[in-house]
Amino acid sequence: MKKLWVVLVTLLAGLSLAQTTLRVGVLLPISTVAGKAALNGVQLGAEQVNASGKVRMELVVVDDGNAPATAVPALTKLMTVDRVDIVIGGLASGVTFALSGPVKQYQPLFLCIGAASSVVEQAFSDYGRFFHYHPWDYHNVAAALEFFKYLYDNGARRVAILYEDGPFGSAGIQTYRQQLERQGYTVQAEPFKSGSGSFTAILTRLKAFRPDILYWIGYDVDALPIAAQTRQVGLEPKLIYGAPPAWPVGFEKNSLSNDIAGMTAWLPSVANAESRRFVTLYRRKFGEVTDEYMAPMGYVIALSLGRAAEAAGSSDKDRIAAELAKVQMDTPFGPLSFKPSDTGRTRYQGFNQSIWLQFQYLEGSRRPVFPPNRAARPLRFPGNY
Amino acid sequence: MIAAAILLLALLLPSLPLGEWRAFLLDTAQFAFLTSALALAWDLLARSGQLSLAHGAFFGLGAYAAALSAPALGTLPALLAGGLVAALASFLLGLATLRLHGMYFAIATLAFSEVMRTLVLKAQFTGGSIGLPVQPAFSGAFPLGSYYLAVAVLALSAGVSLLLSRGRWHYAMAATRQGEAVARVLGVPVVRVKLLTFGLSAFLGGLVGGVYAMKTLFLSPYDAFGLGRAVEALVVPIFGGLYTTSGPLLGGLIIVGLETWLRLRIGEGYLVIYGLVLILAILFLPRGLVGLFRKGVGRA
Repeated sequence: MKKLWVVLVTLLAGLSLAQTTLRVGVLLPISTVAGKAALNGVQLGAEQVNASGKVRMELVVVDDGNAPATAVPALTKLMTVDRVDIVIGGLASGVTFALSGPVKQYQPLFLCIGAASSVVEQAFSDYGRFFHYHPWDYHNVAAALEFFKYLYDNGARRVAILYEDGPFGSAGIQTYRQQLERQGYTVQAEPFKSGSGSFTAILTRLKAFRPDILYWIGYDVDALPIAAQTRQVGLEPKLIYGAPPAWPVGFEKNSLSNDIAGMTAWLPSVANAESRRFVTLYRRKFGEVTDEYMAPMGYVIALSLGRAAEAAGSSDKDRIAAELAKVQMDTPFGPLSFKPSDTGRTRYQGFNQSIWLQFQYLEGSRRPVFPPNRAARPLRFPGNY
Repeated sequence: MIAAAILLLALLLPSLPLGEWRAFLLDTAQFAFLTSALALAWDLLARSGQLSLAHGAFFGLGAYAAALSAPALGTLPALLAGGLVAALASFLLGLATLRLHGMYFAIATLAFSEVMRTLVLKAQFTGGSIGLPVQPAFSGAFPLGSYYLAVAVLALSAGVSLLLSRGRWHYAMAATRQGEAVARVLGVPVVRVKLLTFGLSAFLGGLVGGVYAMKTLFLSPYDAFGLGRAVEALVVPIFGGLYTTSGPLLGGLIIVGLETWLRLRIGEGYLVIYGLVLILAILFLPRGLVGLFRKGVGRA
């Protein structure tokens, strides 16, 4: 009996020694929809990693408050009080930029989930432990332009752009305009105040322009008023194309959403094995399916980190970083591997424009319609508005 | 006494044995000092009876002016430039609006904030909507540089607040607040009092913005000119105690401390508790926190 105990204890001790324990800081705006989705994804991924038994991931979650004044002390706490060596975070570009100073000071392995602005790319250009998973803003522009080229080939010639006058809507507007004009489009752009709910004046003005595409860049609150008032004023574009960071909850159930198109990095209906697996696991853990692509993004980060830690066989951040740089894995977005960014400023860029897909609200759900190799349904063009 | 104790503690904080919490506490304290300093600046103007919603704009103007001029001028002159730009803006705004009272003045200052934000958003040299990277204080040569700058701005704001809590200027502001017509009859140069107070208050707000920029190293129009900042600037003195020095000083530290503590302890949903505490404080402490310590209204 005594011998059995000794063997058991030795086995357990051996197992615990073989297991790599990682203490990972998670710094996200958990009061926002995207931040909460990202956190859910990270937690789900960590659970999967822990279930494998080779790596044990302990998450220390801190709210970055979506503001530099909260995020900077929060990161400092993660590094000096919680003593983590690895941080998953950086959703909003402005906040992530503010974190660049403390990150360089404390030197964690920083796995960046969002922060698409190339200003952030510049800020982290000299930091070797920066892994950026999300595509950069120029990738986003490239993906959207590819779709617009397709529409041009199908007869669209005039684009009316409605953009909210904040950083989100205004950031790439000049680039979009120039690029669309280069493709042969005639463009008219009008700013609006997000959340105002009143678009009839602008839309009526646009009637004289007779746009083929009404392209709006704003927030979820603007989606329904634009859909409704476009019909009210009789604008009749061939396509309404929206680019909010998140679509309103339940928008697909409203008949006004029908035929409206948009861009996302992922949908639950994406038909690849990893996506289906993610949807199943997510539904099992949270009792629902999410449309937020930040959820699978968080999941992918946790899984890739687990895989790198397993390969490194150590919790040392540099050994993990070296293995992460070599990671090649299938994800709900498609294959993931790290390469230098297109501008060459950062060394480890995960996804690029290839993860973006165009969808259309069709009969009460979002269906991938472009690029053709990922389309579940043909694009309805012209749409019926 | 409270003000002196807080300032002494702020000076000594980096040398206290805070263990592993040191860096976090210094970061949190720094933002709390800036919140208190902006609240002190707002309270100065409130003493002359003006309810300003422009302090977010003064903060933003100071932040952008300091950030843009720092590479050429260096840290301290850039901060001074930030304060002066904010003061100049307040002077121009004051000339146009100081004849307005109460809510009308508040709405005018709110409109001013929106105009400033939009201008910065549209201008090319400010980085527009993409934002503006900022160089650290003293080019990063002193790790505690921005901390001591925050302490200095807090000390300056508290000093000005104390100075204006005494003597003729204090009575002139109080008389203006309580009734401009009567104040004029008493010989108070009402317009001059209001303009100078506005300028001084905006100058301090601009300084706070400059130090904030050099700590966060990045500015965006929505962060720097946010209405939330203007609201915070008025909530803190109401919570701590209006028309006092200790009130905004203590209020800022407690509000930032409470928010940070709740965020760490509760996580999601902490804002519910935070809001509840503020509502209760405003309901049951009409004289603010300092009302607990003293029965009379007035200076601290």
